[in-house]
Order: sequence, then structure tokens, then C-alpha cells
Amino acid sequence: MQVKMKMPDLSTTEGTDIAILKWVVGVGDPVERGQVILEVETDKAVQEIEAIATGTLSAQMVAPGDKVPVGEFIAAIEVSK
Amino acid sequence: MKRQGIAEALRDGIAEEMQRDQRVFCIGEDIGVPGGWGGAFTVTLGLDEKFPGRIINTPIAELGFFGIAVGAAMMGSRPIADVQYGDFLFLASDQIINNAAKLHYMSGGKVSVPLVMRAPVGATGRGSQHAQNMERFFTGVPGLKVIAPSNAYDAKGMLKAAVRDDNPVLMFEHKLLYGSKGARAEPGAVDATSDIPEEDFTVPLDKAAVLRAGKDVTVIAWLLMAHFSMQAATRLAGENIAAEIIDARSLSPLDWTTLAASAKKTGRVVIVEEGPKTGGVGAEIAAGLGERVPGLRIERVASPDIPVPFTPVLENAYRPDVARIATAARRLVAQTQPLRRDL
Amino acid sequence: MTGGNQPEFLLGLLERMIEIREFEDGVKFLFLEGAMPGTIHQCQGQEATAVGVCSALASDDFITSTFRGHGHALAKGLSVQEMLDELFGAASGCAGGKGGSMHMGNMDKGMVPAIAIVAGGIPLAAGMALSFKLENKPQIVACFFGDGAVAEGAFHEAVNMAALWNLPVIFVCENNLYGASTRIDQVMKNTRIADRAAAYGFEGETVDGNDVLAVHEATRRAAAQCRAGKGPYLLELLTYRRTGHSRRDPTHYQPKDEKQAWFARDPIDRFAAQLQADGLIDAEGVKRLRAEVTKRFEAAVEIAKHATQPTLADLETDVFAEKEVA
Repeated sequence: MQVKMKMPDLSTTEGTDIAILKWVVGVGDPVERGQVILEVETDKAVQEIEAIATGTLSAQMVAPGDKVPVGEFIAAIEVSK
Repeated sequence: MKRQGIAEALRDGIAEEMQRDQRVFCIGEDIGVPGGWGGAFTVTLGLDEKFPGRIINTPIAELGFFGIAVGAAMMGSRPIADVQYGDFLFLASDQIINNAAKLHYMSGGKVSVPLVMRAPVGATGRGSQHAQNMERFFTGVPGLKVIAPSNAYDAKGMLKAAVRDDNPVLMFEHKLLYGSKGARAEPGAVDATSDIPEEDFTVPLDKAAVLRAGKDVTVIAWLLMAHFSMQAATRLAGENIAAEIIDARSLSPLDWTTLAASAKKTGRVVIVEEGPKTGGVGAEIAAGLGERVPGLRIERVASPDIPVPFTPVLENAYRPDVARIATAARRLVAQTQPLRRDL
Repeated sequence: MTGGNQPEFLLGLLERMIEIREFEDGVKFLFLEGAMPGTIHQCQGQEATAVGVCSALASDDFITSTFRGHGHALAKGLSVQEMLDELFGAASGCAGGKGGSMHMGNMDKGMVPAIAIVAGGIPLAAGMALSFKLENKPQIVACFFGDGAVAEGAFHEAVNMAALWNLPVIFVCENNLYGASTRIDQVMKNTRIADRAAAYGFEGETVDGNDVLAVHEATRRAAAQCRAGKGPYLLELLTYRRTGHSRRDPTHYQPKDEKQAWFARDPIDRFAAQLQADGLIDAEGVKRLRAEVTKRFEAAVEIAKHATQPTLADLETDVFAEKEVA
């Protein structure tokens, strides 16, 4: 079963986009819920995004350099259990 | 039946409620010191002997002991907390407004705060920090009832009703209406005595009182201004102007039924308030009546927008007086025709 | 929970701490998914303070809590379901959907609504204790607050009066070294919070807040003192927040080495290791426990997601208590 992840609401200023810095986990890699998979930059700080489920990272839906609004899909995880 | 002033009537009212319900207690500064004053205006004089352990003297810590009173009320006690001067309520604002007033709603109705709070207000020659009328800062706070009795009968009856109500009730008392005697007598005091019956009685917390009926102009006032308005009515009657005098008495909620009915009848409303005009309780009354009675003419008689001055000539100018009330009423009558009933 | 060192009791402490951690982590991901409205202030890392204190209280003792109150609520006995329902804003939430994360409470379980104004609940706790004392009731109050609250006037005033009148209240300071993003040494010269009790004329002590049994024992002693009329008591519990102040906080103000040192003293890992060393549970058992707790949590989430929301008819109800006392 695929679980899609959305960009969480991390920025302190309403409505600003969040910049993608780098993927920490590759497509096909196993991930655990809570594991850091992506680094982003908000208006205030560099933040880490954690996987919301345990399984395999099946899709990276954004790339480094992209500016992504809150709520847009960023990744998919194929859930193992 | 006996004739009593507000301080005595309140003292009896508090004692009777403490007798009737063991959960009632008083908490405040200097309220129960043996050989002491019974509070700044003698209201609790002698009660510490009658009810040992239930007239609790506090350190000077309004935020703390108002919060303590809220906490006790949440557990089923029924405290009566007082400040020595209404101006000190600001110190307790967080506990009154963020806690007491909100707890019932933000708990989904699961918690009640049966708390009575008492505060003396009014300009009395003590300077701007012991003189404010504080009603404007606490009316319109959702979850908080605000009352302001102008005479001994209402004071006693509303105090009892407040103790028996399961909500936070803030009662304003006017320093010039207590009728305190001897060393604690106030210069400039006004007679607010009433005949007090022997039997138990309460006065509703949400009703205004029509003190005097009249068809030409409605005058809405409370506390000391209710007395001055009655004096103005006598003067106006001599000029063939029949003023209807309403003691608002309940400031949150306002008794719109009574106020609007009178406004509809006369078409002219004078609102009298001791305290700065801008943003006072009178502003709410004016707006609410304007919405309810099309074509209504309204004038507010209030203090200028200044802190309360000390020197008597300026303090007397600050406080609305009988002449200013009568002038406003006269002006409204002269300027306007009666409301057309067929509209 | 009963006291003593019975295996059932000890395993119960572990399970309750795991439940709090799972609740907070689960809620965090519900937020990241966008499934839940509002905001949250979480307590991962501070499970031993909540569970240690509440396990030493009677069920009809009361607690007051703060905006970081999910752990206190679960430890005092509120259900995962009533709290999740509240976070989702449902009418079946413990505050009817009208309170939210910062106002968890349940009067039947001895928790008044948490107060979100820092230190605002401390006078309330003293007042609740005053009521118990005036009415000769055996109940006591435990008042939770953080190191940041100690700077507020409300702390000073309430603690002074509680000491003056020997009120049966345990003041529980969860000192996690930070008030929002500001470190404790930036806001007070004497950072030993327990020292303050002596200034007011009563007793205080500092305890390892990540040792659930140490917290439990200290609370038992404090509670006994309160019930004997010798209250109040100040417990300073040293602990650490494994999460941000609120959900948008990346905690860059917490130095990495400080974080690592505290993570190594995680209350749940430590207690699980201790129980394993004592032979009360094995590694498989701990894993099974976590899995059971997770399963219960996920089932509760499904129910909460579909729970009925309040309607507009509920908007203006509960402003005033309607009941008239005779």
C-alpha cells in the first residue's frame, strides 16, 4: 500500500514556499517512521523531514532546488506491514 | 424591616450566605484582621469572629489570591474575593479573564467557577490610581457576569444571587454609596440606604430597574450616576420634562428588553457614565439601542478622556453631575420630535 | 496505580510511558500529514516526570497542567480516545472539541483543564488545595509547570500563600532547561529551582526527572507530607525535551552534545533496560509491548478521524453554567 507524504507546515511565515535542499534516502531504500529522509530550508531555518510510515521509499516527488508550498506531495512510501 | 446602607446590607448578605452554605468563604486583604477594619470599606467588619477560618486575609497579591479563589471554586467552594480598590483588578486580570471566564466554555461545559468578586470604584480624592470606574474593562467578557447595584436592597439581593449563581460574577460597588460611618465615612457620600426586609430575598442578576417612569426621555445610568440621574429627573419635572430613569444594574448581560422598551417609548436616550466616554459601557449601550430602535436619538454624558485628576475642582469636573445630566436631557427634548409610532 | 515494587506495578509504569511516547510521536505524524487542525506542544523525553508523579497520586487527587500537557493527561488516566477526539476537534473529545491540545482535562479523572498561560495554573492549584483543606478532604493537588514559569509573578504569589497556609499542594517543576527557545541560565541567576522553596519557608528537592522510580518515590514522600498537613512541597525534576517547543520548532538552540547526552538518558530506554536487567521483561517483551500500544493507538486514530464534529448549534453553548443552586 502506498502512503503519500505532503510538505508539512514548517515555515513560520504563512504562505511562504519551502526550498528542497537534499534527499537523505534514495528511491528503493528502506525507511522507518521517524527517520530523516529529506532536508529543506524554510524562511527561518534548515529543517529535517521525517518519514511518516515504515517501508520502502518508492518515489521522490520533488528535487533539490525546488520551491514547494505546504501541502504539496513530496514523497511516496510503499508500506511493508 | 430595617433601614440600612450598602456596607451594612452587604455585611448581612455575606453573613447570611456563609451561614446558609458552609462552602462560602471570603478572601481578600485586611478583611478579617482582629481589631481591624473589616476591609477598606468596613463590609466584612466582625465576620471573622462569626466565621473563624472563613474570612481569609491575604498578602498583597491580587493575581495570586484571585487565582486561588478560582481554583477553590473549581473544586466546589464558593469564594467571595475582593480588591480594596477596583483599580487593583488589573493585577488579577489574567485569572479573571483568561481563567474564570473561559473555563466553563473551554472545558466543554464540564467545569464551573462559582466565584463572586467585589470591587469598589469611583473618584474620591485619592488620585488616578485609586479612582477609576472599572466596569468598562470587564463588561463584554464572554463567560463573566458583571453587576453594579446602586442601593442597599439591590446590593444585598444581588450579592446573594451572585453567591448562588454557578458562574463568575464581578460586582462593582461605589465608594460614595457605602454609607460607612465614623472614621471610614467618605466626604461627598450619597444616601443609598434602603428598607431591608427580614426574610431572605434575592435580586436577579440580569435585570435593569426602572426607578422612575416618564415619557419624554430615557436616562440610563448605574452606581452613583443613578442617584444623580434621579436628582436630575426631579429638576426636569419642574420644567415639565418627564424623564424615565433606568438603573442598568446588570452590565453583562445588559437587560436589552427593559432598555429598548424605554427607548422605543421616549425616542430619546441619555446614557450617564462615570468614566471616560470613549469605549465606555455607554458605547455598548448606545450601539445596542441604535440597532434595536430605528431613529433613536442618543447622547452620552460621561467623563472626559483623561485619567482621574486629584485636585477637587478638576475631579468635580471629571465626574458627571446633576446639571450636566439635566442639560443633556433638555437638549435632546428640544432638538427632537417624539418618534413617529407609525413608522 | 498501586505503589510498592510489584512487577505488575513496574511494568505498568513502563507501559504508560511507552503509551505517552507513542501518542506524542503518532500525533506528530498526524500533524505532518495534515490530518489534524491547530498546533501541538509535545513532551517526548518527559514521560518519567508525568508517570512518576501521577503514579504516586490517588485517583481522586487532582493535577493542574500546562500547554505541554498530553503526557500529564495520559499519566493521570485520560484515555487516548478522548484526547485524540479532542485533538481532531470532535464533540466526543474531553472538552467537547472546544478546548483543544492546550486544554486537556477530565474532572472525573482528577485533571482540571490545562492552562495555556505560563504559570496561570499555579494559583489555581493552590486554590484547589485550599478548598480541600477548608473542607477537611484528604485530597491533594500536584501542580505541573516548567522552568520558564518560575519567572512569572503568579508563581511567587501562589507559592508564598501555599506556604503561608500549609496547603496540600506539590509544586512539580519540570526543568527541561528551556523556556521556549531560551536557556534557563539566560533567565535566572540561581538556576537551582528547588532552592526557592526555602526562601518561602517550605521544603524542596531536586530529582532526576528521567528516573521514573525516583520521581515516584519523591512524590510519595511529598504527598504524605501534604496529607499530614505539612505541605506544600516543591519537586524540581530534571528532564529534557526531545522535541521542539511546538511543531514548527527545529530546536537549533539545543546544542548537539547536550541533546546527545540527554538522549542517552532517555527515561523509557533506561527503565526498560533496568526491568530487563531485573528479569521482569525481555527484549522481545518490550517490543511486543510497543507493538500493542501502537496497535491501540492506531485503532483510536481511526475512530477519532470519523468522530462527529460539533455543529453550529454548539457554537454559543457552555458560555455560562445554567444550573441554579437552590
